[in-house]
Amino acid sequence: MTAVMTNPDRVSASKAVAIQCEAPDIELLLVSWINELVYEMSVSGLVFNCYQVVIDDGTLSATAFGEAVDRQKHQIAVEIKGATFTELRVYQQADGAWVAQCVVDV
Amino acid sequence: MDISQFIQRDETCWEIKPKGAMRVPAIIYADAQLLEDMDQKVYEQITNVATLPGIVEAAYAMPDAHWGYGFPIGGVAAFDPEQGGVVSAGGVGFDISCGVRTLHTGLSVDQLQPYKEALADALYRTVPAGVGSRGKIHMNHESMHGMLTGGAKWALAQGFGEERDLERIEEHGCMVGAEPHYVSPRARERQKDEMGTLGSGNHYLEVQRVAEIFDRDVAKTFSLRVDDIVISIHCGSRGLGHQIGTEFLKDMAMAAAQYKIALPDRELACAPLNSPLGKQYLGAMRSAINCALANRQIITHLTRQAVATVFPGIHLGLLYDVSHNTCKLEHHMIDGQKKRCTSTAKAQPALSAPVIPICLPYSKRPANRC
Repeated sequence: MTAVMTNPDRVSASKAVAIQCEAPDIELLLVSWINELVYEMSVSGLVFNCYQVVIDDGTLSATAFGEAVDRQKHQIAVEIKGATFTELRVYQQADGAWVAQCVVDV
Repeated sequence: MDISQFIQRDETCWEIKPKGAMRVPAIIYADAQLLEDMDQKVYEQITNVATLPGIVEAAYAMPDAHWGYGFPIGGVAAFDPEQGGVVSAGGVGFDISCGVRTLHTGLSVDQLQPYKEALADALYRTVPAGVGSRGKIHMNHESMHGMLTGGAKWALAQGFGEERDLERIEEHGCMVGAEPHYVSPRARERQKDEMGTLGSGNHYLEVQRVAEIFDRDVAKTFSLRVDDIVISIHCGSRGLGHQIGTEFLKDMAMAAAQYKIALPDRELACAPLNSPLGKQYLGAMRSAINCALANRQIITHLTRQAVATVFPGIHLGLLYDVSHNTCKLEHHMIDGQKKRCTSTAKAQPALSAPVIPICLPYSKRPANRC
């Protein structure tokens, strides 16, 4: 998601924000998680680049790492309004890897 | 798109007969070439809209329809609350009451030419734009309530703009039926420093030249001539609207089973207009409409300030302000009977003429798209 806004390599992980959300199914949980990040970016003026996430029985607990938006340094292209349900899928591939995808509105 | 899927009603009207779960036909307005060039997703999405409960007459798509979220962009549908009609947070979209307003500068291209750079700099300095930009207005609980109930009228009372602006704004600048108590603390938090800001993405403030006149009567009504300079502002309800859309989309998706609504696409998450959730959304959404109207009014004031630094004494008259991501209560004649229904419109004004401006004849009111 950060790559939609800026080059993630330009973002340092100097601040940590604790985030928790829940949803009745795994796809809604993905949408909720992204929307929590959108909210934190909006009200705290942050941009994130790495995350520690634990999912337990429909509850997601995470720490998002990033820094305050610096318009010169980050050259942010767009603001994300929210996560949509379009192309929303969360599934495990045959090789065991998980794919979580959705379209964000910008 | 394969046009053999349609019944051609006339040169620019194409119908998809109800099939499967469709309750009404779907109708697309376009010529054959536009229809052929249209994304197949429009077909899928407009037929999905036609399955929603309480839909009236048909699901419609306009000539520039394209793939959107749930509704196609350019999609319009009316719903009858007495027939289980629904309101869809996804149908309205995240940027509630996103819209366009246009100001007439009274300048010609030749008059502007020597000052283009100075004007661009003045606008850039005065109107906050882009990600992370903050306005100079800081909203507290009282001012937030006033803004959410008063819209552009509230902004005017704070000194932003001119009384006559209201005549050219949809709903005369204030959407009735706003219920700010349904606007969450998070939505308010996102908005408290964002009044008078443009945002990013496809939102803009553009200095534009009238390149061509298509309808002389309408142009005359607006006193527009070729090579006139106008300024158009395209933005909406900013973080407040985004948060309301986000929260109600999830709530409606989770409540669909409770209301026995089979969603063909989760993005069309909706609730009956007469249900508690539907009413809460309408109250919050109308508050967001007022937020958008107030925001564009403040930006107009800032724009006037910026332009006046380059062209002292200039007056920028408001031509129109129309929203395109809304749901509105309207009255329509259906089968010879006057019916009350709501129309949901994505990137397209609501079904009936937007309630503006009182000084322009009905046929000369503007439409707009994003």
